[in-house]
Amino acid sequence: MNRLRRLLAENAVVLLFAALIAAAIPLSGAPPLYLLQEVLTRLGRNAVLVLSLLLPVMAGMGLNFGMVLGAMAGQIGLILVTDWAIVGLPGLTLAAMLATPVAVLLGWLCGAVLNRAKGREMVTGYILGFFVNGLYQLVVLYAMGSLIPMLNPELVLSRGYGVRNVINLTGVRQVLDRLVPARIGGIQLPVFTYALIAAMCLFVVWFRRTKLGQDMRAVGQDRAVADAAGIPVERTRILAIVLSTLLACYGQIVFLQNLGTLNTYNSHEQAGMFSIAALLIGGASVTRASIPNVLVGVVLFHLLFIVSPTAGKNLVGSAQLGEYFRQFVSYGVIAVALVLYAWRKQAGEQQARAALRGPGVGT
Amino acid sequence: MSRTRRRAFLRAALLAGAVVLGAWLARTGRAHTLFLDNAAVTLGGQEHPAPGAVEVSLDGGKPEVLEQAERAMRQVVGPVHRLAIEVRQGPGGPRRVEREIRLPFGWDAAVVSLPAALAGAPAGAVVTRWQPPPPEDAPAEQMIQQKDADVLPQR
Amino acid sequence: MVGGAPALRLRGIGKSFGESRVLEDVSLEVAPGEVVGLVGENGAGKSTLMRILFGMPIIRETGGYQGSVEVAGQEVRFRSPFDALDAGIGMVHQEFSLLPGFTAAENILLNREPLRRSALDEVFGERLSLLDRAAMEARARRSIERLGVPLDPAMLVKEMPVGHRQFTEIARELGREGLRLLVLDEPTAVLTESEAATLLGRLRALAAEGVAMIFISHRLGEVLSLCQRVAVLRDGRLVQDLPAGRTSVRGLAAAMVGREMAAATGAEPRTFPAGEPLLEVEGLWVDMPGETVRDATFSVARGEILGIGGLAGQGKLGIPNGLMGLHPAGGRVRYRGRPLPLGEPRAALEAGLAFVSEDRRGVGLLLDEGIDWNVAFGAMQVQGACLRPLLGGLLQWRSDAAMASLAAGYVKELEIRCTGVRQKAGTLSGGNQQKVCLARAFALSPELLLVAEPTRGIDVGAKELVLAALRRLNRERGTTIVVVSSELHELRSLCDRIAIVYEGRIAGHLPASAALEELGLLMAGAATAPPPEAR
Repeated sequence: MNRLRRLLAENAVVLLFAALIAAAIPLSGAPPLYLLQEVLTRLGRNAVLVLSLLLPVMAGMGLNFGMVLGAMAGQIGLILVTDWAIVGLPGLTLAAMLATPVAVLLGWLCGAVLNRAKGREMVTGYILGFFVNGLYQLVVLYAMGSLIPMLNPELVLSRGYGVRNVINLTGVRQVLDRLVPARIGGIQLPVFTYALIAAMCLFVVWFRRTKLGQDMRAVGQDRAVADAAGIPVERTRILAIVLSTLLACYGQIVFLQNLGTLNTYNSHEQAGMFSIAALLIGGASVTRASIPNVLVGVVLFHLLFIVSPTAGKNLVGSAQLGEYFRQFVSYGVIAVALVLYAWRKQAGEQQARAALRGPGVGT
Repeated sequence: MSRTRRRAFLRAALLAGAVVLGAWLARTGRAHTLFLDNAAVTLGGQEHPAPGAVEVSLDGGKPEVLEQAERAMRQVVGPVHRLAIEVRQGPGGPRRVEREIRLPFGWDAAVVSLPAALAGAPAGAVVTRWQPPPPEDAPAEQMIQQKDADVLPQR
Repeated sequence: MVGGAPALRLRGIGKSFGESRVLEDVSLEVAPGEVVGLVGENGAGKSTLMRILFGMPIIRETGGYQGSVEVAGQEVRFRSPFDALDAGIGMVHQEFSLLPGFTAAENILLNREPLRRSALDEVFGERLSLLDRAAMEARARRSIERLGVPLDPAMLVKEMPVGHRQFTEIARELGREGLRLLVLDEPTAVLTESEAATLLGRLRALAAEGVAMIFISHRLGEVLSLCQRVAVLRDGRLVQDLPAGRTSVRGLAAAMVGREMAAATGAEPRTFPAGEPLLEVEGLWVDMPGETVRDATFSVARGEILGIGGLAGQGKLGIPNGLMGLHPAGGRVRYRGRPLPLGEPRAALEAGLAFVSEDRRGVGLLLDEGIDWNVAFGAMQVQGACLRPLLGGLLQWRSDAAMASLAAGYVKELEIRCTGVRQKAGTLSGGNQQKVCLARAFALSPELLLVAEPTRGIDVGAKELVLAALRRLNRERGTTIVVVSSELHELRSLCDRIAIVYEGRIAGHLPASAALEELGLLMAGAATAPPPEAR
């Protein structure tokens, strides 16, 4: 009984959202097969992005809002291969390879900055995302087509430099998803993408068991103790962010190959926010996140995304309400998670000190 | 060899391997547009008339019939392709010619002259670079801020 | 243990931080397998000595040290704590340096985990090798067995009882290769009696195996029962180094607080009318970081000066801060027979309490304002002093003239050295700042004045003036005073009674005329408290 209660309490967020969705699905009137197809597609699309958040949580750096840096790096890789007309799996692989040094560089920069803002990593990473967005725009809007030669005039704004708003990724569109085609009962399964996600999950599992992974867990629990044991704290933290940025970069490439269009100036902007919201809905917290949190979170968050507009429309006669609702939910769940985190930390500290008190009178 | 030197060497080798792999990927993944041109050409002062209907196939794919002066557009990936031309009837009688065409990395599009290929002309005469005409001034494009709904379309 | 070099030999260690000399010619030897106790008041130099031994960077940054450190006969000069660890010196800290979410094994082998090499570390370095969990567990088990305690290597530290955490720390040090010397800093401070007893037993067994130890503790009884020799530090000097059999708790306490001072007498005893005390405190707890008060009960008679002493970190500073509502606090406090709400500084001030904080620059002073403002500010806020009513009391106007004359009076009375009452408080010297703080409290005309560390960081002349001003306030205006201070002789010369705080509780009350070593015993928690109402 007690164990059941604890299980319920620990998964309160997941259960709440599951209940919400269970109520919204009949209201939306969406056919189950359609829902299943959508969820399976979106799982393939988003899981890698969300997975990229795990390592910084392990290293005690909270939710890596700076992952948009990785998304930007991935987009730069995709823009380049599209410009060079390199298509198919080689194109996608090359995009990832080209984006890798950019992601590592940005990750290193981000990690170094976060090391100077210990304890305030999340807000710093968030603002850093805006700052690097400026650099990204500088490169994409001004340098590409002028400093960086662009081969394909169709990608360049008519003024002669800068990349167009929307890039059709026809060459690499869904090449991962369709590499191993599979249809089961009318449901299309992106088998290879799933295999890739499984490989990434295995990587995370393996990584946690390496010395570096152990060091990250140690740093995440107590920087001072890790430092006293001779673990290079700052370097470990930077590596956590570099790896996260790198995974986010690959995640954005997987995401965009599924969509098939790249909104040059917007695609990355919401990547961080939505991934973090999905992870939190999956039951993660600022200090604890696991692979099941990622998978459950992606499924629940996107189910909510799919059903809420139609549910809103059927309920109140306005699809706008659903739009509003999912915005509300993603920002709301992040805000609640952050408040809970601060509150729990404070409560924990107070409890620890209260344990020192005598049996004194009153409170 | 000390551990650090071996490590540095291995890292350098890995980096070099990545560069080579990247180059190979770029080469094999490069998409080109081919215009298969069944029109008369003049090579070195000698005119090669276009044969009648020909069947063209690329890389053993499905053949396509091209009438005289007709042009087909094909998307191909990679630098080397096999072109097979079969002439059903015409001045030289029925014949089949196969040859390899190579596309330089920098060419977005190329014209493949079928008559030249049939005549056994050198590669430079068969495959020529095609440049698009300079674009007319398109209406000024504006940066439009898109909502995140566009990033995560629902469809 | 006979023959061979000592595990550790300190020779003529000296150290100054800027002007202040914190260690002077300290020499100490520890033979293999010997346990040496190191005792002394806070500030006696124990921590500085250990920092030198461990090569903490702060020592080098502040100009290094004099004398030499020899480990196993070889002179060493450690550049970082890791050098010391490599030389076989381990440290068990007062506060646990364990990772709560790691198991005992993971903590014991932190950053020394056995690894399974893989092809990847040829390229990326060995941090990408996998941990060899089985070997980790085996090695941790070996350390635990050597310590001889029932400790599960797979148990998470946060789920352990406190005593097991302490064992885990020690097992970690034992796990190192070639451990020669183990320094234990207050290892029993957080343990229950039975846990402490087990720990001491295991330490004895380790010593028998040849591990030398330095045991730092305020619990003198434990020191005597464990150690073969006890060294006493006082004011940076090694004042006593005797075999444990030739000294006693009383002897150690006396050596800690200073035997020569023990002859000096306290203030002449005064008696106070029985009846309702001015302030009654029962079961007070204060959540002040680093100075937690757990369960303090005491009372203050009208017109009395009560001293509160104790070692740093035991909670004496928490008492006035909690009473004034500056930190979360609870318990039953009655002032003039009426309950005093805790956690509301203004209520305390309005009830007639005033507080001179130990944190002069942070809480005490408006550094960018003149002396006049600093002196008058509190009185103006709380009692409406120096205010002129305007329009029949609708508005109140600040009277600069009244403020200046108020401040000038105190400048004269307390001999504040300044260019004038307008001089900014931040530009005054420490002693004069302290006098301004006192003046501000005096200006409130409090019925009960709480003063924390009134003479900390000021020179001797200023000290005398500050103490004299407090005494005069008490004698001439009848103000009841509670003084919290680390300086026992200062308390003795000023107060009627002295309460000693130990581990967040009042360990006992003594008249100021009590022998210094009695006070020392209470401070070390060695004496059982006499009933709190014993006057």
